[in-house]
Amino acid sequence: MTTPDLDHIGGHPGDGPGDDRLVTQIRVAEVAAAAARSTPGVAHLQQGLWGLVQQLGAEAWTRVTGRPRPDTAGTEVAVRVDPVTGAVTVTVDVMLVVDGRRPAAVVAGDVQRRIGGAVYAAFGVAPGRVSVHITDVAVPG
Amino acid sequence: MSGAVPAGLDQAATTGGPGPGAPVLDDATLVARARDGDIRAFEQLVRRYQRRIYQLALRMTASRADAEDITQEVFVTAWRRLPELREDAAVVGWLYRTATNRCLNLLRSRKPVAEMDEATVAADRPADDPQRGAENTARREALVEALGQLPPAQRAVWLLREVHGRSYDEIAELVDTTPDAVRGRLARARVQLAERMTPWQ
Amino acid sequence: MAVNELGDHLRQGHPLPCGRLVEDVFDDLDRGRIDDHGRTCVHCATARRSLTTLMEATRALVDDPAEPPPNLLDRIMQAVRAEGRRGEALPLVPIDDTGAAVVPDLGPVDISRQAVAAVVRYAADTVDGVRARSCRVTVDDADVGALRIEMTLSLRYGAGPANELVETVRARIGSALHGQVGVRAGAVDLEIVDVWPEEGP
Repeated sequence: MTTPDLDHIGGHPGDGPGDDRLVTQIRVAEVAAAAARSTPGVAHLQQGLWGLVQQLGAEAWTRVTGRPRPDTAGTEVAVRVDPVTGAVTVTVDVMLVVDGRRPAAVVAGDVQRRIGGAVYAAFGVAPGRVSVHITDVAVPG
Repeated sequence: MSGAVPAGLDQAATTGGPGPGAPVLDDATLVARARDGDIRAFEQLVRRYQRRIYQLALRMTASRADAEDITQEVFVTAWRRLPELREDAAVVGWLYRTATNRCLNLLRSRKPVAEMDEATVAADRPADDPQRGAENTARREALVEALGQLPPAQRAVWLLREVHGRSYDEIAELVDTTPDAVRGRLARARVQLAERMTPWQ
Repeated sequence: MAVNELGDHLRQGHPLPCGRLVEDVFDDLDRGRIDDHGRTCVHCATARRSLTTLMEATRALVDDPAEPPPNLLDRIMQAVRAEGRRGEALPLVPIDDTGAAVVPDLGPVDISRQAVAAVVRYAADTVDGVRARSCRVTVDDADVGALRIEMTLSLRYGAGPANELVETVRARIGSALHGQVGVRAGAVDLEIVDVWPEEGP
């Protein structure tokens, strides 16, 4: 897999968020979603209301990558580039349901660490913030 | 055509006002309060929009029972999912989106033979101005019947734009396509409807 | 006749036999304008009639008199109330396996109030002879980092001394919050509001 160069996102000031940034956000979301899903205690990620809107990026994604858009449900990623310094900030919001076998607060801490590590490993940028929203605890019955 | 839309929306807004004595609050305020668990705030939202959602569902499904069920589902889901609604003012768009999806899902699962039970639907007659009322009723019935012959997605596009005044961008999101494709579908729907309306003339 | 001819052409795309697009005729109608060709062309006239019929019918549908049934609002609100009191998410401190707060702070964590209430209710229900009724979860202002629980209970007649049952419920709630949520129970207010007979609930 080619590593997208985050430093070049939005390299044309004034362009606003274009396909490049959208595609990069989806790439980051894909990595973050996989990291969250693999964390013990996570039952599943929860599709957010506005996550549905992001499916709009599917066309641009497929045009650029030639792959179907990955399932990033429940993961929202923002990539910002400081117009002056060029510094890249990545923030991740993940919405998930825990399975009730481990304390939700422990699962959340694990999810944050795993997402941080996975995003850094894939893109060389550690997320400035990983917010975890637990929408449900799967209780039996 | 666009000139006719605001009148319908105004009407919906006045009939959907808050209960007696309650101040009229904007959507964003109501959504913010409802998110905090304020059921009365949510009830105001339901009063404000249930008519529009019901009418959309009714004209999509041509069944009162289905339209009622869909309207109920849409609002109960909205209540459940309020915490996820990031932009408080966007609640109307969200309601339309959910309603449209439910309608399309329902129509997909219906057997073709059960497609229409318009006999249960076409009989609403307004009380005022009998002459004009009767004409309008006949026009409406002919249109409802013609609508029933459009493919569901096209029907949705036409209703959302022409009757509910939603934007091309919003409709594009709703039916998962581009604004240009929406314009194309809308034009096609208009032509087909106009063609089917002609015998009534 | 002209109508059928028009129909055939409409299906193929939308140019009229005279070369005009139906879309353009529609736009002209919508804007209330007409040019020399439009005034004299029989095809344009036919299209205009069809489209005018459609536009009139559309206005009639915008003024749709179909109303949701009067009890729909109540049905919706009943279902919403059944969902229970719902508020904003509760903040949660991420911890490691030893229970210590995660350092460095990577970002905020929250959990839905409903989710915590479900855990707490379920914990109370596991006590034989006890049923959770209402449940309110809030941040305990008097105990930083803990959650306050206010719950009403129904007991089975003859299930045992009420104060023992209540203490068992309290303990179960505490361990459920610890084990499933990862947070301490602060004040746990339990109130018995009902007793049900031996045979059933």
